[in-house]
Amino acid sequence: MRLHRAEIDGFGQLFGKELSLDAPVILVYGPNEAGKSTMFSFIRTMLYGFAKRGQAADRQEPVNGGKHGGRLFFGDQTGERYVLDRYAADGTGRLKVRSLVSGEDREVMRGAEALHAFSEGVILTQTDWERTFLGGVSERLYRQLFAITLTELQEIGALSGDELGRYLYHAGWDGGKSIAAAEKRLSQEMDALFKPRGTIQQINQQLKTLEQVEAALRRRKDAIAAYNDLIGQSELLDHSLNQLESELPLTEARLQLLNKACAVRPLWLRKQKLLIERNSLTYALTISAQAARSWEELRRLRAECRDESERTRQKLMLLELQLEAIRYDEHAIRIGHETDALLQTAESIRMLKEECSELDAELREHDEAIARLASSIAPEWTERQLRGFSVTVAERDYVRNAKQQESELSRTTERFSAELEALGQQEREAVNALDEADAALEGDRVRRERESAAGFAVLPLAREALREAWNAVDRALREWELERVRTAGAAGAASGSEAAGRGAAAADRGRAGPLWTAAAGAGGASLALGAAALSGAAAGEAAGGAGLAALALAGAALALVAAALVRSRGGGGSARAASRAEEARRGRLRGGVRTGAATDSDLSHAERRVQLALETIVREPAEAAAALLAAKHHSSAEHLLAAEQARSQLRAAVEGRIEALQISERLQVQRSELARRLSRLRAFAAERSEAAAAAAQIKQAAAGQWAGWLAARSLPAEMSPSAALEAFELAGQALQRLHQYDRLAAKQAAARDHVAAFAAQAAALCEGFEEAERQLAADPVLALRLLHAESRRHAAAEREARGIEERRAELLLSLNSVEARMQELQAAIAAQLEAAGIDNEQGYESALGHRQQAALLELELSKLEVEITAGMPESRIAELEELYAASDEEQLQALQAAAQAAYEQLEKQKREQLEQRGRLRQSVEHLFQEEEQQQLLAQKAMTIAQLEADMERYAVLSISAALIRKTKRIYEEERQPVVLRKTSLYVSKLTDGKYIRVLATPGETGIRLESSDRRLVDSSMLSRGTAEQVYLAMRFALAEEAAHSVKLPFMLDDVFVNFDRGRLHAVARLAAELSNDRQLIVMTCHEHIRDAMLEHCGSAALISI
Amino acid sequence: MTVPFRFIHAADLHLDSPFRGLAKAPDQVREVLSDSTFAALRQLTETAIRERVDFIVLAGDLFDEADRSLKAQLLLVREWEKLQEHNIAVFVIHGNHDPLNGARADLKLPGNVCVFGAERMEYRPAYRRSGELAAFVYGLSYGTRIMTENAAASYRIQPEGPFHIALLHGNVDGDGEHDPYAPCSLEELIGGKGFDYWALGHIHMRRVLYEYPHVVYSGNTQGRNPRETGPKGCYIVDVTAARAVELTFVPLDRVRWLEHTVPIETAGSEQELLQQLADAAELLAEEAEERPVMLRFLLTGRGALHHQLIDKAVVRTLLEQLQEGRQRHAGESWVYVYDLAVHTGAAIHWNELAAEDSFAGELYRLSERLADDEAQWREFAKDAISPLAGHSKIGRLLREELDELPAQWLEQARELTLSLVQGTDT
Repeated sequence: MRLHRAEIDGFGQLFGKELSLDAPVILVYGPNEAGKSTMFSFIRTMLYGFAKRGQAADRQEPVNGGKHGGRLFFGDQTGERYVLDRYAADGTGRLKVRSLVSGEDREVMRGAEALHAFSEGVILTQTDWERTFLGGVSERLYRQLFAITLTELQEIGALSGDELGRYLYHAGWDGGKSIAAAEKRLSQEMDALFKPRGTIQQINQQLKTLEQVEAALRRRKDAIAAYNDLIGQSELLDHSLNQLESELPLTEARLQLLNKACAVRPLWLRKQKLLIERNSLTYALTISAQAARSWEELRRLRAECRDESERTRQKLMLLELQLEAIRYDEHAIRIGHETDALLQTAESIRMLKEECSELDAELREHDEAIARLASSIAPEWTERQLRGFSVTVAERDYVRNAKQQESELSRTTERFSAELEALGQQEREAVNALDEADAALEGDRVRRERESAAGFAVLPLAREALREAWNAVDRALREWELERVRTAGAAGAASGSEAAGRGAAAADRGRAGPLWTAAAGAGGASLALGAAALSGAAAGEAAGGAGLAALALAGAALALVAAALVRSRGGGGSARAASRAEEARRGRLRGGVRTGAATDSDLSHAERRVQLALETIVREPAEAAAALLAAKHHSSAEHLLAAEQARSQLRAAVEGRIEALQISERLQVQRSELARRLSRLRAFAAERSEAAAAAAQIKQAAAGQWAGWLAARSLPAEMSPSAALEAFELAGQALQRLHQYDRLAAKQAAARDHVAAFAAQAAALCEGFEEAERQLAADPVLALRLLHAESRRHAAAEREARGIEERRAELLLSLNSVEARMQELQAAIAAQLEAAGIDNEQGYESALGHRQQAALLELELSKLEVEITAGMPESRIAELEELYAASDEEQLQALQAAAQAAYEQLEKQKREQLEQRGRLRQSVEHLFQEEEQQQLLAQKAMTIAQLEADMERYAVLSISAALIRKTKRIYEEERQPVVLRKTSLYVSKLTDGKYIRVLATPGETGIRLESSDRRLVDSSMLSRGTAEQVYLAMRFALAEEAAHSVKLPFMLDDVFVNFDRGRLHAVARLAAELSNDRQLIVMTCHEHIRDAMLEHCGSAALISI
Repeated sequence: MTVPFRFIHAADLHLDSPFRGLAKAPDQVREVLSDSTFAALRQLTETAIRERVDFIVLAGDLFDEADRSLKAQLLLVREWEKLQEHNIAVFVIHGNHDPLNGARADLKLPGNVCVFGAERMEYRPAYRRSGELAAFVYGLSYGTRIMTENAAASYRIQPEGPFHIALLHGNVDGDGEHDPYAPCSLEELIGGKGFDYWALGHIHMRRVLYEYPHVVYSGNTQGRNPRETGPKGCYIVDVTAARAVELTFVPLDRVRWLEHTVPIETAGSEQELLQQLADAAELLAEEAEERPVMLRFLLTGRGALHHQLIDKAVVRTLLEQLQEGRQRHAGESWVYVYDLAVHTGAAIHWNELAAEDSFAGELYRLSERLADDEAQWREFAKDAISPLAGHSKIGRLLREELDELPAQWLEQARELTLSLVQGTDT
């Protein structure tokens, strides 16, 4: 910013005053109160507004008139010019800025909007103004840095303000606060960690702990050495213990033995006594236990035997008594069996009796039946006849033959009569048939005669002859015809044949068509034939045959037509007829041709042959020939028709003749046939009659024979063979009955015999038994029963006696055996006595008693022995015996006491050593389990770890602190801010190199100066002038830094007053230098200052007021 | 031709050695951890029996002599006795942690166990369980804690052996993270010595350095500190009649140490982050095949949450919540989140920051310079931690770490300071 002009309207003592300020250095020179300070104030007011009313000194109300305020013309750093209006009346913070751009410039600068905005003048607020034109420099800063009076220069505190601090140090410097805080924090932490002579600091404490742990470790025994020591001791102990282990059992055994010896001595004494006692009884011991037992057994057995023998004797006596009491009869017993046998038959006897009565009834019944049967055969028949009547097979056969013969004979007779009747009937019929044949023959003859009267009289020739003759005539006629036609021309014949052909063709067609077409065709053919016949007749004689043929053909055709009309398949037939007609036509044609070719002589010759032929057939040949050859010369239709008629007549006659001949022949044959038959029948009838008569004779003979046979058997004569057969049956039955009767009668007799025999036997048996005899008469069976019971009674008594006897025998036997046993036992006892060497049983008994006693003694002895020696091996027992042998009670006691003492001693030693070993082992175990060493080591390791960590931290902290310190030094020494550097530069200039540097230590107030001889001088120690120079230099530097963009004008209100000459000139030079890029407004009331300034600042503008 | 056989190669059992790098843990977790090396040993025995191996080779460091653990030695012998019942031979060399001159419990080794001496390389025939000669096993134990000479150089095969297995406890090709004991080069092992299988121990990281001949580190059997992450176990080695070698890894670890990196970009709030962590823990527990898991979360990335996370109390609360959220029952698998490492950064545009004329920019540039210049860094860091290093006890105790001056300290310090400096006005 550069000021160009100031127009003061009214400000303090000044009014209506204009000042040109358009120079780099404005030197305002004037005496005191000339208004220099007012002007200084005016410019400041223009830039930063009016002071408040309370500050009248600064506000500078106009005292000499004029409007409070004015205008300030200035250019900005780009060279643009503006004018600033500020009047107190407009308000403190309001000002108006207008651009002073010329028309041309405006054109050029059209684009600049800001400029454009100011071209019409803009009212701005103070803040906007400062920001836009003053580079953001506040009033306070302006007053401190740019508008400097001597008072402000000396305000040292101004340099420590926050606002200025920013310029002294760079961003983040924070006036050195954070650095100081950092250092403080570092040192606090370091102090907490460690102090070389401290005790409570972490590291110091850990060191202490470590020392303690190490001391504890040192104090500890070496576990390994201790272990080795313990192991050594343990081994020694083990050795000693092993020895003890081997000694102890021996001592203990000795002690035990002695204890035992003392304890069981009474027992031993008793044992001795018992031994002596036992020896006295030893003899009894020769009796073996076996012998003692067997002795007892023998005695017992002997007693048993005695008892048994006594019992048996008593039983025997009893049995004797019983036996005496029993009585019985031998006889009664003997007959008992017979009675028994008889009684067994008694039932059959009873049955026989019943059977007898049954047989009676049966016999009666048979008798009646026989009588009945005999009378049914013949009334007069009795049992005698019956017995004499034998029914043999031969007789039976004979009767059957007779019966058969009879029936055959009667059948033959019947057949004969029937045949005869039939033959008579046939005979009658044959006679009738013959009569009829005769009648027919007669009729035929009459009819033939009648026929021969009409037409041509045909010769009564035989049939073959007639046919031959006709054939000859016909042939002759045909030849004739041919001749005639040949001669008379073939025209008519041809047309005729054509018509015939058409007819045939039509007939051909009609084969497939409806029947009427065939008929029409046939009709046509016949017509054509007719026409041909007519032409033929007209042609001549020779044509007569042809005409006849045509007629015949036509007739045939007509017949065929009729047949076709009747039958549905007539088509085929008519066609066949037509084809036949065609053939006939061709034949005729051929005939015609032949005829045509023949000569007249041939014709006559033919005629002759006709006649000759006719002669053989017709009674009047000439007439016939005439009629037939009527067309010979006149071939007109009439002639032809007549010839044809004649020819057909002739032909009919011949045919009729032949037919009649055939019928007549047939009738004759029939008749002769019938006649033969009749005669045959008659002969047969006669034969049959004879046979019938013969049969009747035979029958008669048979009847006679039969009657004879019956009589021979005294059978009724009228009895037929069938009845005889019946009688045979009856007789058979009767005979059977008779036989049964006989048999039953025999049986009955036998039964009666049996019963009688039984009674007799019973009587024999009962003899001698009263009661039975009494009963015998009434009922032999009952008697027998009584007898039987008696016998059984006796038998039972006998059996009982027998049984008693048997038992007696048995008892006797056992008695014997018992006696024998007794003897044996007695012998055995004697043997035993002998073996023992004792002469009686009492002696033996007492010996046995002694033996028992000895055994008891033995038992007690063994018990004592067990008590004494229980659990002791043989050697020990021997030792014990020795002891007893060698010592008495007292000695034993003494020995025992000594052994006891020795044992206890050893025992104690062992216990102690075991304990010791236990302790050792425990110690070893303790060593193993010993954790303290480990814990101490761990603690040590941990302490060291902590120490290391803390130490590291401390080291880092120390280094951090050192880094900060070092950086600070670097800062102080090398990296002073630009302000201080500039300050240093300016100071150096101002002091002419006496002071080379100005230092501001971060975090510390005040500044220091470094002299050219590297001395540092605190600013407070400087002389007033020098201090002012330093502050001035600092302000120059700060101002430089504070507003780089907008270089506000510097206003110095007589601040050089304390400068000496050299320094004044130096500052003048500096001012000139600075004014190169900043306007300087210097106010002074001193001439030498003015001069000095003017001397050095060539471009300075002097304003004198 | 040789008979086919199968053996187990394991090493670095470190029985009963305390867990390092774990500042605190609940009793139950501690119990499981302190038993875990034994559990792995039992697993080894069971695996050998189950898989019907013919013999086992153990390439040193069976226990830590320094721990003076009687239990370790005793249980080892007990397990070997079990193997003897199954007729499985055990070939053992001792390493730097269990040298032969160390304190030893007076224990009688079962007959199936062959311990190689420290005098010179020895060899023993190894038989199949069925009795056929399978291989020769060569070995050399550490007599003392330190073996700096090249032990492998003394290894020679016996030509009559059908298959040659060398047991060696040492550092092949100079792995810098491990003690340089029995150093040798891989070329030396594979070149012309004639061994078929180098069964190596000492380095806890499982790896196959070479095949045919096989040069194999089986790794340790149980992870023992936060650095030993992932499955741990042994190799089952099948050698066919044609001398083909097939390795099958069998995990034996009772507890699995895992480290899981979780970027915080996607988490909008602490609650979300907690949920993500819990989910991740769940997933990892499943992957651990029924084993307890010791889990360390590594929070990385740049996100809004960083400013909360630079507050240790926040992290501690998160960790406590993760630990509380899970119930650990004995015999069940569980996940114990023992650490929540915050390696996050503020959402800073590095390029802008690098160019920024500000305190933060300057600080960043300074850290960059330090990161680039090792010497400068060491000087700077040494100076910074001099109070610590100067402390006699700490200096003695943590000499290694303090000397190492890891670059990540710088990284962390940079993040911390930038976060702090910029923290309040963002």
